[in-house]
Amino acid sequence: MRRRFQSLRVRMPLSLVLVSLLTFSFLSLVVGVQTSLNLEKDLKRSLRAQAHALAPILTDALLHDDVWTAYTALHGPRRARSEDDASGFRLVLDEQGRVFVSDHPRRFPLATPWSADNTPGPVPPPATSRMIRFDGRLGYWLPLRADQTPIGTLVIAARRGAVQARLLEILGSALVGMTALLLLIVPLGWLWGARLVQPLVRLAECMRQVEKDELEGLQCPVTGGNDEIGQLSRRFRLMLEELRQKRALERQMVAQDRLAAIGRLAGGVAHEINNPLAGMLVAIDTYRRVPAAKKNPDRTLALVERGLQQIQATVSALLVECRLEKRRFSPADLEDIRRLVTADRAAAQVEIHWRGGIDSDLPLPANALRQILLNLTLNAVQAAAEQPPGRVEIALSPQADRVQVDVNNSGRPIPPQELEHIFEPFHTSKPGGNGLGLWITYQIVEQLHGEILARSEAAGTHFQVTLPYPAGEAP
Amino acid sequence: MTMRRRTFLNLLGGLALSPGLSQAGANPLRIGLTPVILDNRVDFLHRWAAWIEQQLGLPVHFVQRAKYQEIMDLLERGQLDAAWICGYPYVRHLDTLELLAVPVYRGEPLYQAYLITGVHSTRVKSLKDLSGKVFAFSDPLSNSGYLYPVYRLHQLFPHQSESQRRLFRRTFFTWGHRHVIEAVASGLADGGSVDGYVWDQLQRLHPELTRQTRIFERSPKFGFPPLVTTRHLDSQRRAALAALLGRMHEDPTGRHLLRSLGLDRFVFRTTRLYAGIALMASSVAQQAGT
Repeated sequence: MRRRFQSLRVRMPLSLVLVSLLTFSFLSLVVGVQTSLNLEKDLKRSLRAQAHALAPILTDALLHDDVWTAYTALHGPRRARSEDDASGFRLVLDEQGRVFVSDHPRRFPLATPWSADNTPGPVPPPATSRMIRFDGRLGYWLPLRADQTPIGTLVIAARRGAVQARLLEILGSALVGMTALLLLIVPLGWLWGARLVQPLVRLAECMRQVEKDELEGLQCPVTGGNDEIGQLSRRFRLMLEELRQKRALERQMVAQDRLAAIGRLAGGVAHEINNPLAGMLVAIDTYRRVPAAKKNPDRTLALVERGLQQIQATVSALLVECRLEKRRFSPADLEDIRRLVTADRAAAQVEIHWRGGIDSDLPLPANALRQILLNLTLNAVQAAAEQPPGRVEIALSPQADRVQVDVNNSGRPIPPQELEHIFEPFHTSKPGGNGLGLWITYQIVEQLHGEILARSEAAGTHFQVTLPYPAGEAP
Repeated sequence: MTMRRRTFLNLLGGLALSPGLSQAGANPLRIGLTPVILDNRVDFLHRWAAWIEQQLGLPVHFVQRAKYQEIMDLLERGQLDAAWICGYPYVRHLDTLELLAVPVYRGEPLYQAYLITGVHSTRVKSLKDLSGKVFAFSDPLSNSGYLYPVYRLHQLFPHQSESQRRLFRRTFFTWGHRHVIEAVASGLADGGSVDGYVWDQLQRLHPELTRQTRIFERSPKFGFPPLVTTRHLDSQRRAALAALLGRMHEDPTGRHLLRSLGLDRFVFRTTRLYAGIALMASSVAQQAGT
């Protein structure tokens, strides 16, 4: 649900509806308040107008003690008034504040004292007219004067609830109108919002597919129009096109790299085989042409044999194979390697640190791991020796389900373009190297389902090998 | 009530006048009406006036006033030929007024005053029970609407000169029997005194009004408010008008008009019919004087 509300497709029409609602509410409030004020103003005006219209006849009636005429004057308009202000009343008080007459004779019996605040006893008439709120009513007090002398008071009161009722009525019809309008606006807003957002949604969908790497055959429809969304859409399509070209270029380069590597491999193989072949051909030729050689064919045969052995060695190296081997790598194997490395000529000039180690056998083929360790360590020692004072660190870290080998040397860093090719056969930077050491290491790691990484920087070069233990085996 | 009856009499007088004064352009017959009848029935008055005009060949003007006194003043100044007034002002002006005709109501030329109260005031049985309340009179010149209740108060409180003021919290005049009934029905007054004939007619025409009132006392019968003329009215006119009223019930339209008023016919009576009212008037005057 949360996700749904994050989508513009929902939020946009929702916002439209919300804004409409807010606008309506605010307008209703303004209209309501204004209406309320107007109604109150109208009510006051009406009360005042009624009072001043009635005043002359009531003054006369009061002077002549003519209750009936006064009653007729007050009562007549009451019949004409609507139901809702029936709870109002009109009242004439004499100068002692007693009821002279009212339009509700049962509520205000004649000749009984009355005041708005139920003051006991007579209340003298006010000196001037005034509008008073009392008991939820609005009342207008008008002194009735004869010859400038106050002889009584006319009180006209209307219930303010009548104003509220009318206000509610007005607000009610406003609400009905609003609801009707909303019923129209909600679907329209929804449609409009959806229409507005649709290109963005399509664009977003398109981008998601780009993330999933489904560039081929991806069609992102571009919306017309020159608005921001249209521009965005066109820009995106351009970017997509560029991305496609870049990907194609990359694929091309990868293919070229592969061809180059194959070429180098073929060249290396040819070279390795060609050298002994040339020697053997020369030996055979010599054997044929030089009579003395015929006297000693063993020598020629030995020469040919060495050449063939060299070829065999090269081919075997290329066909690295971890022979099925039951023997596990033991602490003794590690000790052997230490001794072999230390015995290396170059090791004399290098500081070698051994870290980690094992107390028991590792569930890995002994010879394979020995070869990996030996290759990496000897390489490191030779590299470090070239740049005295050299330093090499070797760490064997067995873990629950794998073993990690780290070999660091302080030798000259390998340039990045070279680092890419170090695991290829016949690639070497050492004079006299056959370029097969790292190739073999790589092949063994691969066959043991492990991983080998090489990193080189100014401080040195670091090889890391991770070998998982075969399923079901533990040290 | 009384006043209304007088007006009616005046009208009848006008009718009677027409045969002898049929020439066009003659002085119109001016008949004063008081609220002894339901004098707000304008359509009825138009029809009645038209009938009198047709019968007498004279233009007829009904003159209506709110207060009995105003009609009495017009009569005295000779500005009216006849008037339908109450028995009380008639007995006060015996020297200047002459009886023209008396209506017959429910078989006799008599009527009653009703003392009424709100329909919910069930405990009111007598004027005494309205002590401290508001009482409505119709007109100070009305027999049923003023003289009778004042007389009753004098009877109830013989030793108090202004007994009604002491008894009631407030009294006022409504200038019409119908208004007394309205005042009592609305609660403006707790009690009132009205012409029984008007109350009966109102019950027929507007039962929703009388339903809100209750009669708690009926007076003895008095002479029905008469139609009178001034003594200086032309005798020919007077005779014609009297004759017309006397045979009104014989004419189909006249009968119809009478039925509208709820009356049987008009008859001719002497001053003796109003002896009861005269007695009450003198009694009240005497007490007020003491």
